[in-house]
Amino acid sequence: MSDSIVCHDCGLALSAPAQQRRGEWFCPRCRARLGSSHRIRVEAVAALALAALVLWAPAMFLPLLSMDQFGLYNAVSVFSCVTALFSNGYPLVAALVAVTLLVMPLAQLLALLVTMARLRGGVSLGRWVWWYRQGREWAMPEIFLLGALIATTKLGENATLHLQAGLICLLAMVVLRLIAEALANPAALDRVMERRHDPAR
Amino acid sequence: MTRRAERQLAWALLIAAMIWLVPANTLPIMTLNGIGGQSSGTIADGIKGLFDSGMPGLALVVFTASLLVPFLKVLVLAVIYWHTPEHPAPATAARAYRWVYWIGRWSMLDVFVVALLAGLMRFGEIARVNPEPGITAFGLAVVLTMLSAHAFSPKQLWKDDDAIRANP
Repeated sequence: MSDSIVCHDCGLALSAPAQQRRGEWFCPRCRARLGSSHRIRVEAVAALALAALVLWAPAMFLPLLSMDQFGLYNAVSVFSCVTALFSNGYPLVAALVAVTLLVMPLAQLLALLVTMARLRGGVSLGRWVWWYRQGREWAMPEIFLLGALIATTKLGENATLHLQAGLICLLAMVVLRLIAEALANPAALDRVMERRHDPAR
Repeated sequence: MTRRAERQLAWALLIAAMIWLVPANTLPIMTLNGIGGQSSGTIADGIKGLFDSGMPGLALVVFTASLLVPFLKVLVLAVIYWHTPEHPAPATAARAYRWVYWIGRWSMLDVFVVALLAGLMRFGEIARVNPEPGITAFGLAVVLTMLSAHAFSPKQLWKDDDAIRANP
């Protein structure tokens, strides 16, 4: 039983391939990626998650862009987008933006950091992996960056746009998060938990 | 949750998403108030605007994320749910499901465009962007579709007896 694994997508039980096998391996029934010969580099992932966490606060609260128009000045941050939507009478959209840009990235990065710490300490991973998985789907800072690019095309010709520090922080946070996600593959985390008979999955 | 209850929840969320897609695409998503006057636009107007101002690349990105994917995603999920249980081609369905799952979140693009413009364009009477009800409907449609895909587990695509054998 210790070498048996269960496909996360189709539920098929399989025996794990020999450890020295190279490359990636997939579920024979549904073709889901089940693992690879790469081990999770705990320190590297923890460092990336921590760096992204540090960048989270400036990325959310510092101005991303500012604009001069007809002698007037205005700057926008992720947080002020949420308050603007709220004061315009769109609390549902404001909540959606707050969850996908503010709450979930923070929860995901925290969960990833705690997961790596627990992996290193040999403690049960618990619900933290669940939060990390949810964050992969519901945290959307990279989509917001593309949205910001599209938004700048709609400002009109009288506007002068300036990039601000928050945008650099957001960009750096997105890049670090993407690298951390690529290194900490959820299927690989499943394999680690199976090897240790971790009950919380 | 039983497999049957899981499918019912997935269907309910998908049908709710289909209903919200109608106002999402017919109502304006934002209004631009400026010295030159006022202009409201739907999602399709926004894509046309990008195309007309000489940015066909971005227009294509927005068209894919905001128009093509939301409808395609709902359609693909409906077809998958319809054939479940005992799906005739479970491996193909699983691949389509995974694709839909990965691409669906990019539909939030237009919500973020409106959010940023509403936050940035606040110059009182001179230039101002106000959100319009279409964006709430669109956001709800995207989230409901994502939740529906969540509620459905791809294990359902294979017959029950397979699953029992696979989970000793």
